[in-house]
Amino acid sequence: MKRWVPHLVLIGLALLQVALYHSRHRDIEALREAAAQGSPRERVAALHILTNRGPTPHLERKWDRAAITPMIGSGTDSLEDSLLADFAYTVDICRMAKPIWQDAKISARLKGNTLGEIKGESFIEWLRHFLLFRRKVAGRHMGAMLRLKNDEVRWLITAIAGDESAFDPQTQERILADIQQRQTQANMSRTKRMAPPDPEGKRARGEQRRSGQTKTSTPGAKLPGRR
Amino acid sequence: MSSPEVDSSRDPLCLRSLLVLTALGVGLRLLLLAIVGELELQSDESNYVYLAIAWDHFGVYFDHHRYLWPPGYSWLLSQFIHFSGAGALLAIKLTQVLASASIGLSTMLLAYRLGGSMRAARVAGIAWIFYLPLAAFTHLLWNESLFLALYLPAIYLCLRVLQGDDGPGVNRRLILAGLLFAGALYLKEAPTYLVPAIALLLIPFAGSPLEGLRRATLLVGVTFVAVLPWCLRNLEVYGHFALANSMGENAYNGLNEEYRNFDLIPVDVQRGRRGLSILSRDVIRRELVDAPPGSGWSREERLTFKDDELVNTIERSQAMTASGLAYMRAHPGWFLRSRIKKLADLVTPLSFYTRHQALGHYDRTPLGGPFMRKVTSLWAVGCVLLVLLLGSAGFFALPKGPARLLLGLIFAYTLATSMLVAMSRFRIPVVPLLIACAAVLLTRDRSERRPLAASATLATWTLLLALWWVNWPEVWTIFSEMVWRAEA
Repeated sequence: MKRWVPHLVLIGLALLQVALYHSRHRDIEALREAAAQGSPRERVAALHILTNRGPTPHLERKWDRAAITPMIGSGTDSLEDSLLADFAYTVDICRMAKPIWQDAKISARLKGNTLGEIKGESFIEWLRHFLLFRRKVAGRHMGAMLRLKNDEVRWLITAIAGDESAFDPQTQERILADIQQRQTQANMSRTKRMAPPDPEGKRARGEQRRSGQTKTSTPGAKLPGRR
Repeated sequence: MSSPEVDSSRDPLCLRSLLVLTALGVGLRLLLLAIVGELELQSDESNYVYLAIAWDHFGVYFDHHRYLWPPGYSWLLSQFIHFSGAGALLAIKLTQVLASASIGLSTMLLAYRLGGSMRAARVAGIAWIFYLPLAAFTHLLWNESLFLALYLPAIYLCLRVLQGDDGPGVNRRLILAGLLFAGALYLKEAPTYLVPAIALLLIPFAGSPLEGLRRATLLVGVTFVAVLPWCLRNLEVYGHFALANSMGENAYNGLNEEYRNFDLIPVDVQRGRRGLSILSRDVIRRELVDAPPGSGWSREERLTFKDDELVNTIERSQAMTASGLAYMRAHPGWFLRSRIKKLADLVTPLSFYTRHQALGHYDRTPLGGPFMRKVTSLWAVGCVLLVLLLGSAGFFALPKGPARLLLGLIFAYTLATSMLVAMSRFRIPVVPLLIACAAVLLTRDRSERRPLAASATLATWTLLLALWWVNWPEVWTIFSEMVWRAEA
């Protein structure tokens, strides 16, 4: 019997965890309340669950999108609310519906090519939103475009830390220019890839392949997704 | 079944020499990290970093929308970000270099256990030190190094129990193995079903069925209890009890009309930019992967609230898995044919090191110059070919018994799990085991004749040669046009 003691301990630990889960489990109503009233961290945690929990027999299948948008759309300057404003650009919120207003806010500065405040949003806030939105781990339909590069990781970590001194006007200009350049390159590359295939070119490539030559230019080649 | 003892009295374990070899291996990886420095982030590396930054910032772990990855790697990164800011990337690479000590030591101890000699252990250690494709992972932000650092000792401990290392240490070893497997599962969900399979293997070698059952349930129980908190977290967040979920996306990539090999996809993107032929379209043996045109299915990308339905990542994944299985049932001929290509992709001579050299990721480092690029890439290919050939022969040279069964189980499991999506990276979990087998082959008593082992080796080598022939067009093209390019 002594040899089965570890098993009994394991059963006890498992039961303890299940009991803890049940004691801390929140239903939809409790989550809605926490999402509306808690501290920014608590609100984010509640929103994270609300936007992800799938339909189960004891849960509601719908969550009111109209209730979420006002919670995250304020984008004020205070650090606490800025966490919620940042959250609006993440995969949790962007998959609720097509992220049209996020896209518009992000694009405004790129189009305007300006470093000043835009509708109360500073460059640092925009940079945080841009990187959280465009470099997120998700598909293009949720605003994701390209992946983080080393420089961008540094900017994002610095911006999140709120170290404004790291972003003097010259640095801001360089960052904006870098982002725009990368965006332009990506757009050009995408246009090239998505262009309709050239039938003549396709035929020529087929002939080349049959004759054993492989090197050929491939305008309009549609490539699978990257990883 | 009896549990044969390992005759190690002939050659006692000399831990000091193994530690010296481990230190040499760690030193070499540290040197590689110093030489390479900060490589630009690629593919999944960026994803891990994004998830880590977001975790540190928001206090929640996002999914990938298409995948729900295990949280371990991003959690560790988030801790480094929290304490060292942008220095986190270097900090985790240093951690990986240090963790590789566990890989090296486990590889040597496995070889010692399998071959029963210190020579086998030392040969395995030397092979591990210079196995470049494995060493390269320590300076990349993929979790292979940390995964192996936990996974290999767990396998070693299970092997000791299987080989009849009885006594009071059995419980301790099984509990430690379970915790290590759980740690590995927090990094990669791939061995999820391997743990119960190994547990089942413990039963016949335990002396009695009841003791076997006790050991098996102890191993599974410890692993389960250690991953339970995260499964319960997912139950709370997603309404589903799961550690991770990437099956649906893998089904989309592997059971679909379009052929996808993630070793080739970034290469093809780069080749498109350089004006070269597209490998997955123009170069590979399409006859193995071509499916009926227009038969493919789309990703389950429904946004939540569309049709009043809240569909989260796990549910999307389940829906895609069903679509993939339906596609497989509808095209059985294509399925069998294309799995030959998957097998070839798994044992391809390519590795992440050669892929990154071909893509030019090392170009700004001393390893990326024309000479070093060619020499080290050839070295990396040589490592892969030698270890696959010698490792498979070494496996068949092992005496019948629990060790061969355990390794056979792990090899079969890795093959089976790679049949959806295969690439060079997915064979990494078995590479140290193959190194250990190769070391046993090179150091065994050659007077023993085993005709069955020779036949099995011949059959496996023939299969390997056939699979390399299958992938020859793209491997040759990558080497001749991308690795062998003249410019830096």
